[in-house]
Amino acid sequence: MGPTAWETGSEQVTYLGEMTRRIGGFELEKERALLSDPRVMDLLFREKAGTIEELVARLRQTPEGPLHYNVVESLAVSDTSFFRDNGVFETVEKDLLPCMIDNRSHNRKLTLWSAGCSTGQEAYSLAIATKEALELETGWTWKVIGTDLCSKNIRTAESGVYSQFDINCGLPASRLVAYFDKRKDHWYVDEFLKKHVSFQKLNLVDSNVAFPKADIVLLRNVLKYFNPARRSAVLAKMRQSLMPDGFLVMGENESVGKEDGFEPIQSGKITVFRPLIIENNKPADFSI
Amino acid sequence: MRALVLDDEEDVRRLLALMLTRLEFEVCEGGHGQEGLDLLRAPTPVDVILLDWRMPMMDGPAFLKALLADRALCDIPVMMLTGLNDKENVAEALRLGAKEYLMKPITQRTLREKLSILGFCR
Repeated sequence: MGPTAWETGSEQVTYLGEMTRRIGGFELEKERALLSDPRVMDLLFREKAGTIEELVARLRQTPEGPLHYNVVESLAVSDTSFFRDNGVFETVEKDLLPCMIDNRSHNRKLTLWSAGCSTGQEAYSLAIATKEALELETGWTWKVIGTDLCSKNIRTAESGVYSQFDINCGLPASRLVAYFDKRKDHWYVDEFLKKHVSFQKLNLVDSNVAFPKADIVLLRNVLKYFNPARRSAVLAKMRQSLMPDGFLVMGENESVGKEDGFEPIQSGKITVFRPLIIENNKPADFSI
Repeated sequence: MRALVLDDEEDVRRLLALMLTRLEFEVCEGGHGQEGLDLLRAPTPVDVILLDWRMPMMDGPAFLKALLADRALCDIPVMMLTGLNDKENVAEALRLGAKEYLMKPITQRTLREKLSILGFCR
């Protein structure tokens, strides 16, 4: 078999699936067609491997190291866009941010975390939403943290440089004008916004990694690629990382329940989640 | 939902009509602004207008001006859809009254996402 088809159940797929599960914690989408995935073809090109068999053979012969990590990063799903899912951002802007701004009026500090941020669009969208939510406020310290498994994604996110296609995906024209500048064929995120956003490589399933403390966490379309044990482990850490009155926002059709230590709350058109019990084992006195 | 496509290039209109049909829109189309105004006075209402900038007879900005001056039509959201892709063009379109701006080349996804911003295709 050459790199023209992805045969479900083939020896190579099984090997790669085990590797992504062990190192990255996520399940491989077996139905993915190799040639239709530019990242995989890019990987083969970068590693100078003519075929998937050749790449897998090299992985087998090499002690686990950078080559394996690069392959795992390349196989992670990283589809994203600005303000992805209107319902989610409507809720963040109309409900969650006003609520957290109210709750943090005593110390005027706010942290949002885009977990699995891919190339950064979600983190910058959160930054735009936060800046606008704080438009009439003064003296606030706020930041958005974007984390992702993939170093290449982090580099793109840090650059704050996006293609016209990226810009066309989900970014309202008014916000394009307000927060981006065009140089040659690319669009650059406004420097003020960039100062409030930081990115770091973070493997959610790495037990040695500490999660950042945050008031609002967006963890969308990430856990669905994890097996139940990994999912539970990530959620347990996420619960510790989230402030007691904070919010966890998940992807469409994703949910966490009491067994994971979270309580669902209907907010606008979506369901968001908050830690089930806060200090002194009392339920959070909070409504939106 | 019904969309009006105004673009002087027939190939672009055909492509947009195909993409919009996939998004479950009915589509009517015209090659310039004046044709658009005539179509809008037909009894079937239009929910959104996709408007090219440069067209003969009546261009996009002139069409927008005429649309906004007409009380019966001024609430229909307009998305500029053009090859003019500088920040100044986007700002100018918004200033003229367009609600959204999509830069060519267009894909099914970018069209859907921009329509979603306007409250369609959710």
